[in-house]
Amino acid sequence: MNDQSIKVLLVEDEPLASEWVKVNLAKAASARFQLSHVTCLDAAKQQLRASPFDVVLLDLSLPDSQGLVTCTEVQTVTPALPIIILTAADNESLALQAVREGAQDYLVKGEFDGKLLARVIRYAIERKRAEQKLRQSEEFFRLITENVTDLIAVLDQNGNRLYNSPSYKNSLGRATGLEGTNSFKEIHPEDKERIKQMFQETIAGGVGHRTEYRMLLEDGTVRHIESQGSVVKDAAGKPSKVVVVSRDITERKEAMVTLEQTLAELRTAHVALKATQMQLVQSEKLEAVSTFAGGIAHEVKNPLQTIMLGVDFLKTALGSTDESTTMVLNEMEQAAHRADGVIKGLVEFSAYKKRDVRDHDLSSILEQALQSVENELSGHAIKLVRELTPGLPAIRLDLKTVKHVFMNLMLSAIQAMSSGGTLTVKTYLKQLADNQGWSGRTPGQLKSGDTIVVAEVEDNGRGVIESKLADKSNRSYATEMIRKGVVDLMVLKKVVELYGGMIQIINRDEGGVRVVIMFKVQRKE
Amino acid sequence: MKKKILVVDDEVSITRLLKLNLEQTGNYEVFEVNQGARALQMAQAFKPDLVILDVMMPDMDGSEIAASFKQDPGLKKTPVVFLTAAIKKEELGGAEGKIGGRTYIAKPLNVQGVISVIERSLSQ
Repeated sequence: MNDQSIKVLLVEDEPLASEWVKVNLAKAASARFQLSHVTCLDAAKQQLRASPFDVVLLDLSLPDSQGLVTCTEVQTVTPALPIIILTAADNESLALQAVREGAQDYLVKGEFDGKLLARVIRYAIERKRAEQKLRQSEEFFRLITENVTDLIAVLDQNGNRLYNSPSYKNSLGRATGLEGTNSFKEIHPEDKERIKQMFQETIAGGVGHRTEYRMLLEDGTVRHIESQGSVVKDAAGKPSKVVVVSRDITERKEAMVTLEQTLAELRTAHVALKATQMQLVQSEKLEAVSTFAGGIAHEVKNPLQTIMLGVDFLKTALGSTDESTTMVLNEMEQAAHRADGVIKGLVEFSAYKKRDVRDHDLSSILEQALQSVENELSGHAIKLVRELTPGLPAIRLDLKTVKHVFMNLMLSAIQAMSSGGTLTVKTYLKQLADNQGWSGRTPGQLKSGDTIVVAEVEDNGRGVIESKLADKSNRSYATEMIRKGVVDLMVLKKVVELYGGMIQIINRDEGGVRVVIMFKVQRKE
Repeated sequence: MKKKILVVDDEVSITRLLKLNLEQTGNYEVFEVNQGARALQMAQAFKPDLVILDVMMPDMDGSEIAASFKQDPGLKKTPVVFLTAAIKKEELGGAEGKIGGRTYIAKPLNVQGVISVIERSLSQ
């Protein structure tokens, strides 16, 4: 500032007072002043509009304007220009009033020298500049606080609001009248104690915290809020206030919840889709296998027929030539019959091309199978004992094929009881203990500890079943009739295994046969 | 006197073995035909006491052949026994049975079964 001359506009109508200023300004050696002089407000305004000044020396009593209004008129034209009031000794109170209204300082006419005048001018300019900067900065921060959507509050040590940003209107419904109210009031009762404690820790420790909590508004709505506290310390370095910047994260929370739900739904859908896909693949596989097996079976039928007729012929042709020949022919005959049973099974089960694997109740399947063999049952005077447990866990399988398995078992049992007997069908739930009677055989997918659904078809008919699937029995195969199943048991076994099941044959010591079919209960995902 | 049996089946090995089996008893004279289309002509020439007819053959099905026999004065009284793989023993109520007035034998055949059906049909 020393390098440049300071442009001063003197607005004074009294010649003596004007002269006093001019003389003293000239005397001031600390700075160079460039003085312009006008004698009325109108002229002053014109000058101010025409060229820039650094300061105005203003007499409040001018020919065209008197009193405070003179000062405000000048401020209106050049708000950023520092004003120094020139006042008569008897009117200092008016000058003070002008200072309160925004003038920088005042000088009593005739009571200042060059030094003082120069100093007052320079201080006025500096002060105005600082004031201007402060105002700009205040304006800047006011703009920020008024336009942020974040909630900004300044709290005293008790949590009472000293300031709150206008954005409070968005969350609390109002932004005015909150000063002096307690900021804990709106906090959800379940979160209140925790937040109060955190606030006290903040005051005590002087370190701000970040936290999340809920607000319970008067209308009952709950908002999720995230807050960051910062401590404001007093001159002695003691925490005196807390600035809390908060953000309404309700939408974010809700979006998160929605997102999580959507994700969970997506996962479920994915699992379901996978299961459906697996099921579809399985169904298609089964269908392809069925078609293939059925086709092959038909092709094998005729050669098998030839072998059977050939054996028939040889048996007669060779008669009882010798024991070994008879034995060989009998073995061949039995082998051909077994092969025929397998073929029949393949043909029968391949008839169910479209497999529909879904959850089924085993008891209801047995019930349906029983209905299908009703005629045979009544035709043979067989007593039926039903012990079907309701509400068993569902098993995933194709109804038609599995029902067919049970029908086959029932028909085989009925055949063995042509002169009467008792057919018992049972279903029940059980936990598999160790080596449940199949030691030495592969237990398939079943292992001890598994929960299984069991179906039993039991008869007290004649004959034993000779099969790899049958348990060792005290009963002698040599002396008893060997039962021929309608369909070979190995085919039934394969069908049951398609659905993760196991089949077990028990030649009962007291006579008759019990066939046990077990399915593992799948845990629900 | 030996009974004359005409066996019509497209499988040569089956007709041959049936022939061998039946003739082995000494009670039958068997004539084989392996083409459905030739069955009527052969039957007219051979004049069988009974015809064993496979239901399913590639060129002509058993029912058509049986119908053509009904049109022939010399054959319309000749008993026909059908061989079938489509009908199960269980449905026939045993190894053989009657469905809709026809006599069926379920495949696979066993010689004793075939003979008993032949005998029963001839005696009717």
